[in-house]
Amino acid sequence: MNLKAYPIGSQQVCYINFNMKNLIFLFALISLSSCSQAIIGEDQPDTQTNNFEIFWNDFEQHYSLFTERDINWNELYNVYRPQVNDEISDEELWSILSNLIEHLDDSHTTLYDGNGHHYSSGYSLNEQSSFEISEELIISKYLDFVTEITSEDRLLYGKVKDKNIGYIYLGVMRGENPSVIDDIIHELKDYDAIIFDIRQNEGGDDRYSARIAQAFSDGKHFVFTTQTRNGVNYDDFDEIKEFYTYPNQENSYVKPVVVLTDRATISAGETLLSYMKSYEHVIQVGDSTAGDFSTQSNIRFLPNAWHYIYSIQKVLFPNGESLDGVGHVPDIYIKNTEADISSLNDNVFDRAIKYLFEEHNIE
Amino acid sequence: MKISVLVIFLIFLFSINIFAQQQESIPKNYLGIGIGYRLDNLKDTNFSPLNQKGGSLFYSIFYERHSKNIMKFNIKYGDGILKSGRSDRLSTSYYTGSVGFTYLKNLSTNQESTNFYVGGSYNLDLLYMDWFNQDAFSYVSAQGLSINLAVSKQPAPKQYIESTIAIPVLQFLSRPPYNGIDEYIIENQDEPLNIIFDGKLTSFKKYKSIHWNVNYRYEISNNFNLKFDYDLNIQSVKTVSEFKSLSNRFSTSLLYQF
Repeated sequence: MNLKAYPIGSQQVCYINFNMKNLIFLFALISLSSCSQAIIGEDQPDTQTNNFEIFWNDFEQHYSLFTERDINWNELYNVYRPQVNDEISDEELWSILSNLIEHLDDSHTTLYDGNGHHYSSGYSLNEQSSFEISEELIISKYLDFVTEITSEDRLLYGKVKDKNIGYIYLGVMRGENPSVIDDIIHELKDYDAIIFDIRQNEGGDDRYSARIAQAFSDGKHFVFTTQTRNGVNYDDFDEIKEFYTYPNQENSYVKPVVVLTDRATISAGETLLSYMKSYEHVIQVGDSTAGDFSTQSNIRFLPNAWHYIYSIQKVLFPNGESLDGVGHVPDIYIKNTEADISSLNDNVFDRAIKYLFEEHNIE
Repeated sequence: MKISVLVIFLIFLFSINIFAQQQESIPKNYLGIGIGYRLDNLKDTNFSPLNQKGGSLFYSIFYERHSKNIMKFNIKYGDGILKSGRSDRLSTSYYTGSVGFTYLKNLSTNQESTNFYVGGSYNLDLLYMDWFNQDAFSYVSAQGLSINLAVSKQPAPKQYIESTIAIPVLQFLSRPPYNGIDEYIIENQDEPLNIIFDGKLTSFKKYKSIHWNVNYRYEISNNFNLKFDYDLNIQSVKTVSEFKSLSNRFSTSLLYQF
């Protein structure tokens, strides 16, 4: 503070005032910084026990599928909490949290360390299935031609070799323009059947699924309902929202369609299958799907900067049944082994062709 | 109760406006642009259990009309990064915006070197947080009416100091649902305005805020003024989740006087 005596009424008075103002600002800033904690509250301590407690409690209050997946979360707390103390290493805590969420068998539940490592619950079967399909084998052995849709991710179509059967592969439910499916159907409309391959479909946007399914619609069907957990009790859910297939359109493809699935047909890929299986002319061939239908939460955070994600909805089918943890069970069950692929056989593809011949005399 | 408070408040604003029009002195109009920096500390339990701190540049444009009474209109926008977690490893983008209209009625019968004002304001304040391309997001949108108390002083020719406190009395508040996402958000994800303005009228019990501004203005010429502002804003929101924030803002602006 400048205390020099300047004549009152001169500009220097303002100089003193201005310095006073600066000091007041500075004082206010320091005071406010120190009372920031009083207003915002103490930050969460970054201890191993607190990281565990936040993680467990967050699931307890927000995860949506304890009942559907028959999980006793409190019992798991009693198993894993004693393994945690503030002295354990990050690696040990990672292992404990991974083991805890593995009980959920829900690949929509994933833990990330922020350094490129992650652990997804119940993902081992899904991961194994990636060795039980070969795009190269499908193209070289089974297809006459292949056209890739460049505007979309992992979408291509073609014709099955020496058969009057079209083929579509869709590996993800994300893209700029799902209505491109109408153009594909226009190209394939003269074939007697279509094999629609959604093996290894990693999911994406349910709205994309609905639009893809529209191209095959034989009418409006009630398909499933969703509800989002909205309270601390396991049975606190918001209002039911019903989902229907779009009505059929002039150029809908309503000839026989065989949808190929495997354990890594997940999430919005399964939602596509939910719509497709409501149509009379569609059957599912392959392995059961992953059984992960719920929308995922926002990413959640821990004091140690790990983050995670989980399911927040339940999806019920018209009979009131949940397929979470079960997946869509195929009409014809068959799966490849790694050895089948190595010996250049895709048994799932072969079975689809056989079905179309035996049931519809299509070849 | 809420409606009667609103009616009384609107009648009050209307009456001081009529009264003000009867006694206006020669007005001065100002158009200004400003730039500033804000330091934010916040906790949004819907988004994260962690405290977050960060800073952002912000920009403003505004119009003010000073006669015996004061009228202000301003728009502000800012964006920056919030840090949290071990070694501040978690970075969250955040965006802030506001639109405000304020009317201050001079309580003195004549203009003095020190003037006291009472008035009201309408404000829309928006804060949106986004972690890694919407893998996590949250927002607070509040719009409504506030009561304002202000004092201004002219310590010397061409120099003005003004301080205002605003306390919201009726707000339309929008916050994410219990689990951050629900079917309404999924359906409207391509139309964020539908989400941000899907709110409810809220009581003082659920939404508390105070905004304090102090500014110093200097007439550098007949047509141009320079202004320095300090703003303090504290918010506390208690809906299905809790949001608390403390924001310190420093800014400077250039005003065209006409």
